[in-house]
Amino acid sequence: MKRPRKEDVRKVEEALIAAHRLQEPVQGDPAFRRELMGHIRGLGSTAAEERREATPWLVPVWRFAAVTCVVCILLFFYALNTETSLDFEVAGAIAGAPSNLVIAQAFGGI
Amino acid sequence: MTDVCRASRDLSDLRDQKAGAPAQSCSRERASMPHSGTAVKNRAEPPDSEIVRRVTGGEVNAFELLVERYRPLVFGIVYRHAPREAADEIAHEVFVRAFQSLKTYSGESPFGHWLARIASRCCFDYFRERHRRFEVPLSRITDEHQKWLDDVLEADSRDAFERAVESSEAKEVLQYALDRLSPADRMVLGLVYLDGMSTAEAADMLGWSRVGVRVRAHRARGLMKKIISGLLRERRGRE
Repeated sequence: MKRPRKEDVRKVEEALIAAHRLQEPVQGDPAFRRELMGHIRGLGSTAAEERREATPWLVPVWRFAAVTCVVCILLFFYALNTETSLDFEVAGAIAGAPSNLVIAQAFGGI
Repeated sequence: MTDVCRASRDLSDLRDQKAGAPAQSCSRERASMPHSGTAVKNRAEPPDSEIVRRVTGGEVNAFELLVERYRPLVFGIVYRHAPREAADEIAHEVFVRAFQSLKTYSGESPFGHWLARIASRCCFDYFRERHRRFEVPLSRITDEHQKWLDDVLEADSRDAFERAVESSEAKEVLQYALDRLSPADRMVLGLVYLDGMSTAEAADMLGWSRVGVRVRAHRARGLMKKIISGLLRERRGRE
């Protein structure tokens, strides 16, 4: 079957573009604004309530977050520089506590 | 109102807002638009920045002023890029998203431009969601659509061409072609070739890279031409 002429394709393409640009903007039905504002007011009151409830708790929590991060970084560098291995210390702690001896034996540790 | 003026009204308004320049053409129509800067000044309504400040300060009802002012802009974008039956739902989503992210609006660009970006992305998300759910378009080409193609190809005057463009078949054929593109191709094609935006503007609207938009726009246009060629071949087959 013969390919359509480029000229024909271009003409149809032009017509489709023109049809797209002709579409009249319609502003929705009258209930649109009422429903939307109802939803928005709901979101607004929820957000305000959340802000009121969350703020007293969140402020000290976020202050501690920064301190906790610094402590974690310091501990990380401390752990890197210490010679003792963490595995041995944990194994020693388990073996040293009589109540944990059974658990350690169950895992075949001792 | 001329066709060209009507067609590019929303887009040129956005550009004017962005550039802060008054309109050179179609000024009468633009002055009557609720979202134009001129209209805002004439009615002595509070500027967008003040309304935004009031809403973010807790005065939720002030958001209604923005809804009223920008409803034509949002619906204009949604109607051009999404099916009519989903327009209310998408426009609703646009305003809700705008309200929820109002605190991120810096005021550097005009509010209309910021909102248009949200509207474009909401349209894209709508098609992406529909594509993900494998909702296959059911539009078919009928004899009326084939006759429309004949009318377009045989139009020997500007009037005949415009009559064909204004018919409902034109929109249906366009819908048929767009439904056969991926959500991303459809959106880029819509913004760049149908709306006439530059690739930079389309990239800004969608939050993509300019190169990505340019490549995709080129590919999408190629696909569109293939779809049109297919329709024309089908038409010849029936002859």
